[in-house]
Amino acid sequence: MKKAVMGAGATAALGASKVGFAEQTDSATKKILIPKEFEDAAAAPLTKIDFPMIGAQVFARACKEEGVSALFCCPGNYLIVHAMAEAGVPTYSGRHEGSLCHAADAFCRATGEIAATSGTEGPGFTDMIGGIAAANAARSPILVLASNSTILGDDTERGIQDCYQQPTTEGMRKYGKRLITPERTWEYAGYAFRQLKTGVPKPVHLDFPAEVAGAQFADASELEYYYDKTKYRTEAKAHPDPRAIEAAVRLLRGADRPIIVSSNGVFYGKAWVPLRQLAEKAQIPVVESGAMKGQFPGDHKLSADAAPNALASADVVLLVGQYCMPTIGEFAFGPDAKYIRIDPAAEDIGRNLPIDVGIVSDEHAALTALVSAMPNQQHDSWVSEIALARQEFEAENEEFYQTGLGYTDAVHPAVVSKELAEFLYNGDLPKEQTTVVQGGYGVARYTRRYLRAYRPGQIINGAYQYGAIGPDVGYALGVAVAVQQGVGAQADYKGHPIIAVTGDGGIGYSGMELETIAKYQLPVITIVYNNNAWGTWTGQRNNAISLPIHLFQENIRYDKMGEALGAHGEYVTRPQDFTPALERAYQVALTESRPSIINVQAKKEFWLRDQYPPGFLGKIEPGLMSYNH
Amino acid sequence: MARKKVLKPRRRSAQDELDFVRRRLQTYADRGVFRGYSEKQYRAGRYYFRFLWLAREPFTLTYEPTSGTLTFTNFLPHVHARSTLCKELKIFIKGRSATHLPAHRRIDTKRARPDCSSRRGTLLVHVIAKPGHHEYGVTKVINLVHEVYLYLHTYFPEYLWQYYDVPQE
Repeated sequence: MKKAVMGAGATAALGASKVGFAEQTDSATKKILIPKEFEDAAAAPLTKIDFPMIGAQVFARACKEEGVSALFCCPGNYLIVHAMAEAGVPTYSGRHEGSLCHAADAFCRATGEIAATSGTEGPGFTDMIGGIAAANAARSPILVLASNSTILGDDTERGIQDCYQQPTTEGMRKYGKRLITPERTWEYAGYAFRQLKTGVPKPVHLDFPAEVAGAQFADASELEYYYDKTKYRTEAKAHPDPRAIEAAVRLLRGADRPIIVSSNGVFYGKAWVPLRQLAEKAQIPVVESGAMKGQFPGDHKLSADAAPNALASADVVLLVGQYCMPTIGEFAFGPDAKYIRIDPAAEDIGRNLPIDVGIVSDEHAALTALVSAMPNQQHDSWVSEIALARQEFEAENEEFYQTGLGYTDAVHPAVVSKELAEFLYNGDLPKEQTTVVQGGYGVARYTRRYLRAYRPGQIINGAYQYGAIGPDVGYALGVAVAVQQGVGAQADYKGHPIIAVTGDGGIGYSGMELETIAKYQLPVITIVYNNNAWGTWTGQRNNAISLPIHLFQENIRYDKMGEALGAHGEYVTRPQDFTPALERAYQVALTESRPSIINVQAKKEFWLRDQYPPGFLGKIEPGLMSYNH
Repeated sequence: MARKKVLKPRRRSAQDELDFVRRRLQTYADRGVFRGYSEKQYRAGRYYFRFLWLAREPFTLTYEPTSGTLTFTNFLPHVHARSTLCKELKIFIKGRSATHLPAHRRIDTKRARPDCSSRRGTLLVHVIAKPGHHEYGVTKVINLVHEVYLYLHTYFPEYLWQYYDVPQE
C-alpha cells in the first residue's frame, strides 16, 4: 500500500517500535522522542489526487511522474511541499534550507537521479544559495523550488519576505523561471525536466507565486500542453560522429601509455559498463575525477586512482564526462599528452584544455562506439608502471600511518583515515557496501588517500569544485536517504549504514542536521576531525593578531552535541581508541538505525610539517585526491 | 643477447640546434600548452623565450647554444638557498635522471642532465644538453618543470598557494 504525508521512503526509515532514545538516563531530563505523528504518517494511505486540482498539485503530479526521488525542505512553500509529499514523493524536513539543499545535491551524486529541494519566499530561498551554487559547480540535477509571494504584490514590499529570486540564481543554474501564468504550470514542469534530464546536469530553479501554486483547475483542458512526458521530451541521446570516433581510435591505437579519465558524465550516463569494456579490451588504465567516485572499481588492475605518480607518463588522455574542466597544470598529465574529450555539450569542448579530438556525444553512446571500434590491445609495461606507482603510493600511506601512530597525545589524521579504510574494506564488511561522504578540509587531505570506491556512487566527493566548508552533515542526510531508499546506484546497498567525514569547521555549519538524521532514524556515522582550528590557521601561525581569526575553543565536545540531538556520541582522544569507537558506532547504526558522532580529538599542530611530519598534505588530480575537478 | 644501444654524438650546427629548440617550443605553443609564446631578444649568447604556462606570470626560458644549457629563470621564486624547500627541491631535481625512473620520465644522462642553482632567492632549473641533443634537452626541461610542479602540489602546497595563486582549498 502506498503511504502518505512524509512519503513512502521517508517513513520506511522509521522503525515502528523506535520512538525514543534510551541513552538519556538522567531522571531530571526528559527523553528525546520522535513524535508518534511520524509513525502515523508512515501508516497513512496515499489518496488519489485528481482534478479538480490546484497548481501545486499539478506540479507535484509532474514531479511524481518524472520520478523525482526525494524532496528535502524546511517548512515553507507549503502548497508545493505538501502536494509533493501527498503525491508520494518521499519528503524530508530539516533545520536549515541550505543544508537541505546540500542534501538534495548529495542525493543526486549518490544515486544519479533527480532530487528536489524547497524553501520559503525570501529567507528560506536565500538560505539555499550556497547549496545551489555548490550543486551547480558539482553539476548536480537538483530541482530548486521556492514560494514567492504574489504576482499582485510584485515590487510593493507588501507583507514580508519579498525577493527577486531568479536574478539571484543567475550564473548558478541551468534554467530558471518565475511561473506567472497558472495555466502553464504543467508546461513549465516540462521545461524543467527537459533541462534536468538532458545534456550536462545542473540545478533548475522554479519559483511559485501564490496565484500559480494556488490556482484552481477544474480539469485538464484548463492547462496548456498537458500531456505525457514522452511528448514533451525525449530519452534519445546524442550519438558520436563516426569520423570523431575514427580519429580517437587512431590516437588511442598509436599511444604507448593511454589513460581514461572517468568523471561525472559516466556516472549520470550510467556508462560504467562500456567504460570497463573499453578499458579491458584496449588495456587502458582508468583514473577517476569528479563529484562522486566508483564508476571504475578501485581494486581493478587497470585502476590508476591510487597511482598519482604515474599520471604524468600518460601520452594520450581520454576525458569522459569531465564537465568541470581543469586548466593546464591542474591535472597531472604532462605537457606532451594529447587529449580526446567526450562531452554532450559541443560548446564546452576545447574550453580550458586544448583538445586533439572532440567527440560530441552522450558518454554511454561514445564509449559503446569506442568499444566496438577499438581493437584488443596490450600495454603491459604501462600497466606495470601503474602497478608500481600504486605500490609506492600505498607504501607512502603506510609510512604516514606509522608516523601518525607515534603521535600519542592526540589522534593524527593518518590514523583516522587508515583505520577507517581498514574497517570498511578489510574487515567484516563487503568492501563495496558502505557509501562514504568524504568531507572536511584538512582531514580530507588524508582520507582521500586511503578511501576507495569499488562501485558507482560509493564515495561522494565532499564540497567538490565549489569548495564550501560545512555542507557535510547536509550531504550525509542526502546520501543516507539515498541508501536507505536504495535509489539508483544505491539499489544494491539499500539500508546499510553510511559514513560521513567532516571537520570541526564543517560541523559548525550543518551540525544541526544531526537532529534531522536522528529524527528519520538514518544510520549515519559522522566522524568529526576536531583539531580546534580552521584548516587555514597555518598561514597565520606567526601572526599574533590575525591568528585567533582561525581558532576555536579547544576540545569542544561535538559528541555531547550529537547526543543532545538524538545521536550516539563517542569522544576519542588516543589513537588506539578510534577503531573501537567506530565499531561501537557501527553497532548502534545496525541495531538501532540511529546516527552516531565520533568526535576525534586532534590538534592543529599536526599541519606543521617541521614539527609533525608529514604535516599538511597537498594533492594530485585526477584520481583519489581529486577535489577541484 | 640484445646489444646495448650506443648513442653517438650527433653533428649539428648551432643554427640547427637553435632551430630544433625553436620548433619544439613552437609545437607546445601551437598545441595550446603554452599561451602568449614569444621569442625575446638574444643577449650575451643566450636566447630568451617567454610564455604563459602553469602560472599567471609568464615563464622565461633561456637557451645557450654553446653550452646546451636550458634554464627556467623565474619558475621558483622565493626559494631561499638554506630553506628546507630548496634542499628538497634540489634532491628532487637532481634525482630526475635516476635509473629507477621509467625511460619516458627520466633524463638520460647520455644526452642531458638536470641541475639547479640558487640566485638571489630564486631557484633556477636547468637541463644541460649534450651536443646534438638540444631538442631532447628542451623537451626534458619542459617536462622537468612539470614534474617539479607536481612535486610542489604533493608536498609543498603552501608554496603554490602563496606564489602560484593555487586555491588553498
